[in-house]
Amino acid sequence: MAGRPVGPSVVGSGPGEGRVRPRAGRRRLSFAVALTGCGLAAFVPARGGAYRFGQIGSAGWSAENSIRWNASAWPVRFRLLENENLARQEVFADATAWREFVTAAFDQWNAVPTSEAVVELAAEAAAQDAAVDEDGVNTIGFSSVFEDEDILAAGFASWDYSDDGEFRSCDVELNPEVAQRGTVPERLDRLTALVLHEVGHCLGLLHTVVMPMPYYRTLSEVDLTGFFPDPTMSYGRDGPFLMPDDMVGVSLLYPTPGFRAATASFSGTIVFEDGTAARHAYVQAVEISEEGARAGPGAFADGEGRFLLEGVRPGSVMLWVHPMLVLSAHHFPGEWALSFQDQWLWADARAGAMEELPDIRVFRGRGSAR
Amino acid sequence: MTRSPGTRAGAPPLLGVFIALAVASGAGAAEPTGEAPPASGGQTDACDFRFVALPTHEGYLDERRRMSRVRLTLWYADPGTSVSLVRPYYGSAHGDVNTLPRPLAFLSEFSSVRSGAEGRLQRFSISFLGELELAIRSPGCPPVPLRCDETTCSE
Repeated sequence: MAGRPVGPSVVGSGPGEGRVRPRAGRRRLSFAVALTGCGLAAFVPARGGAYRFGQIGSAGWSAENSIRWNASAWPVRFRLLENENLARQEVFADATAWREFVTAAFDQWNAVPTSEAVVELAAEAAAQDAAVDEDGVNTIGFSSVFEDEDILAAGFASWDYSDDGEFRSCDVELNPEVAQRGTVPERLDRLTALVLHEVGHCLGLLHTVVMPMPYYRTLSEVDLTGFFPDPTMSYGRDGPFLMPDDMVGVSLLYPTPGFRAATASFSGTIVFEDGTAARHAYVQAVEISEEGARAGPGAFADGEGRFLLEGVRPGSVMLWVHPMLVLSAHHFPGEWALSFQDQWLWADARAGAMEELPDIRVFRGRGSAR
Repeated sequence: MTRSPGTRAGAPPLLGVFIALAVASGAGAAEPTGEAPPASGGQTDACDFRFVALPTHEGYLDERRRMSRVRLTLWYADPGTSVSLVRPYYGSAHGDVNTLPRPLAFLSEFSSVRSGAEGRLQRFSISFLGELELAIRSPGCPPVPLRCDETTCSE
């Protein structure tokens, strides 16, 4: 099994808006199909709940059953694509500046203290035709495929992995036009978010969802704290930095010794009042401590309303149950209309514990006018 | 069920005392006194939870939109107790099929305290535009609606 492209970031203000057009004649055509309704479902096992990872089979929900790099793979090295597209990026003086920029983005992933993943840039570059193939070489760079094949995307990552779920290579292609609007800082932030996002895919992360609470920077005017910017993998309005959900995700795939024993897991079922499953509902952890609250990890419920939430920091946690708020990255035919009121409940996260929660009942009527 | 009229912004600093007494006693919620008591309720003979909602703040989301803020304190014995956001939301499921209405409410100032062998005290603030409506539920109990506007909360 090889060459499953994942997670395009599409043209827009960040990796989260726009559309991708089908690309004929190559393996990535299968992904174009995905955008019409069923592609990412290929990653979703019948009972699976960990949609944030690419899973193999239906052996279970945990990150441990997910597609990932072998433990001996570190560091995973990428080659920069070497072509004329870099010269179109006015924000980089030369290839050295671009290399330093990508390295800084890689280092955000490398700096996650609870993850063993390490990504680096190789000294040697790669030609354009080395992108998106199955040669075992990882590449990243501004690609010509967007213009050549009329793809309206900001970037995408393509996986090559074995039947037993181990990565063989990953290629990241970035649209040369993605950083050509706005001020220089805006362009750099957008590009950083894009690189972080696509490298996240290359580490094995799929999309999560945007935080339930919108992030308004202007809220500082009313002296409020506790707002949650969206994680890099949310396909939303993320910033040029990793959020706790991103860091927990990569740590679940490649945990440092003791990470799992130091974090808590919850499982349960989300149902409507009438007992029917709240399919693909999302459970967002809000970790509460004396220092304040932060958004922790989140998890999807499966088609039966079952969820598994892993990697929660010990202590008090609010579980924020809500529907998927942005569905463009998630393709569950017929499910988009799932709607219910946001619901808050609380639990104690105990290190190393897996707690089965009582059924969580949610209620229809989101946004109903009165 | 304890019921009380709504309150206006700037309620008396009696809330902390009220909560402490209510939790320590493990019994019925004391009725706060003063000119502007917070909305409170939730307790019946069979349902062991109670809450206090206190409008605490007014500010501005941006240059035009005024935002209200309520401090909610919730004590409960059953861990299945939950709070639903009934409104406000913004956006429409009929507009963009890829989106659902999102909360137009913001949570902040969280604290969580274990109280006694079984009880739990949760506090957080909810900022919102327009009117806020919550539904507080505890297993085996009828849901308790809580509605707040800029200055008042009531069941």
